[in-house]
Amino acid sequence: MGIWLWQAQAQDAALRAQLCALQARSASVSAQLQEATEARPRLLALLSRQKRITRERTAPGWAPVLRSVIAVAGGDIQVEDIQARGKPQEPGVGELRISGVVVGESPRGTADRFRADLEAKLGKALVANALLADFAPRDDGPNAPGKGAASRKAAFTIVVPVGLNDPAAHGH
Amino acid sequence: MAIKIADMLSKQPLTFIVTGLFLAAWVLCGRSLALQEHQGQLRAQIARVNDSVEQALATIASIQKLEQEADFGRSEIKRWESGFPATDPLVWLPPRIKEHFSHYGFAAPVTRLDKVQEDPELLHYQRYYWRIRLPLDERTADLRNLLSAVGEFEEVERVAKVIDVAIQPDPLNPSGRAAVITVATLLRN
Repeated sequence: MGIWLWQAQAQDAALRAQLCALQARSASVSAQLQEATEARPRLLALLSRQKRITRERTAPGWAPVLRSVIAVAGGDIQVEDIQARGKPQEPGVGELRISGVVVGESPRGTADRFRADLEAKLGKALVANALLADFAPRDDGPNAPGKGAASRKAAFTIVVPVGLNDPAAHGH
Repeated sequence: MAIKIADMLSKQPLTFIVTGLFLAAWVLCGRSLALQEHQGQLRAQIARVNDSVEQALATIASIQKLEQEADFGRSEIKRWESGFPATDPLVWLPPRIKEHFSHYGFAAPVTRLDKVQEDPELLHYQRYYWRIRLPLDERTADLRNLLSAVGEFEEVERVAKVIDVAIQPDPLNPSGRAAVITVATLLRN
């Protein structure tokens, strides 16, 4: 029984020593924790700022949309006017308005194909369907005397609503 | 009392020894039970302190991770900014714009600084808005060329972002037209 008691006392002493060591470690960790906790808001603000700078710099402006227009406009499309603007009343949304002349046997079909190809090319950048807002045969087009079917002309305007992720555009 | 115990010891030594042993066992058991209870308390305390140390270490590790992310972000921004002169953009950007559009046949691009905006959330940075006017003539009237030039501009000049593009009557040539491109750049002061 004496041995048993002696063992229990030894175990008790070991537990006390373990607790003392742990409390010393806890005090040291607490100091580090306080330092780290104080730094946390500054770090979070810094990270948020860095993310914003990177996002603003890497988010594309109108360039990819304009490159898409070039990629799908065939030789029978002549672009005469472009207006590409952000919508102040709808932050994050822009509108591309392309006007021009389409030449060929079936100007309406070509203009529709151009609109559809543009929609396909822009894909997720679109916020709504592109619209053939205006289509009008030109005087020197299908009914003009002496003009063949291959040289029919029509004026068109296509309106393309796209998403713009640029914070700079919103603030402008 | 001492006489009584001595008397009892001489008369009934076995009873006395058994009683003594019983008392000793009782005391030891009591002491042992007290020790066991105390050890239980110590173990619970150790577990509590251990948990709080583990939690604190996990929090410290998460903050150290944030610190590493911030260091990485800082070096990325520095690396990105090293691609541009640290001088006033009014000095170096307009010639670069002119050079880019000249490659596409726009002989006389005019760039002017429209406005400079501070952003309270981005200290040490300013957002510059530039207006580029490209007069259109017979050679550049085909707007495919303009679309290509503007489309490539953001690729070539990574600091620039095209905010809007418009074809307008040219104020310097009433019979002509000009493309007006608004570009934004976010630069360190």
